[in-house]
Amino acid sequence: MSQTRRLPLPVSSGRIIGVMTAPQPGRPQVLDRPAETPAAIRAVLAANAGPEVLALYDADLDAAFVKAREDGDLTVLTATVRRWWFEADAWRDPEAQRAFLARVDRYAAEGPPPPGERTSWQEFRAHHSA
Amino acid sequence: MVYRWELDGPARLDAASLPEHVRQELDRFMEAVTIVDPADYGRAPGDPDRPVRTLAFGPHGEGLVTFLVYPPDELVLVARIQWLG
Repeated sequence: MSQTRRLPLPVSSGRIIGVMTAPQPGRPQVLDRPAETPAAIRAVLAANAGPEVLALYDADLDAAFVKAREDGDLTVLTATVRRWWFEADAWRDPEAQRAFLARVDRYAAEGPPPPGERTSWQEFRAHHSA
Repeated sequence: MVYRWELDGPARLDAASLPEHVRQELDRFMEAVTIVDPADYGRAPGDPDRPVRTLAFGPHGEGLVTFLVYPPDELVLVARIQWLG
């Protein structure tokens, strides 16, 4: 088994997408998707995620840089950037991200939602086939 | 032990918003993960045993499934599906 968290091997896509959008009155600022770069990821986290998440990111990235230098292998660095790219994507909409975090906290503490509020992948595909 | 993989409401909306070719990638993912232990697969040595886990999917790992594992119920609850491809 791979020691990474992906079924296929990790590969950096290198996509570069978007810049910040103007804030909407009355709701939190929703940002465009950042590029998969440390600076772009950090900008989204700094704008929307708060200091604790930002500190985690900085520490994680620093550790990955150190490990990459020690090993002469960029795998851990690209995997770390990829993982935080998904995190930054989620924080583009801080209201939705906080709702998601509250939901998974509830699932972890109280158990899954009732069966009527869940759908198997097979059921989903039966209703959404090509 | 074979786990049932199920989507909660918001994850179902995530999946419904994906283009068909990405759903086909998810099909392959869902088929593959049934043969592994979702609580341990892909976890690096020393990684903490967190209730919320993630696994990547897609040919270049452009997708991410976030889920919780409930061993007593043999249930994996998918709470979010992201696609950055």
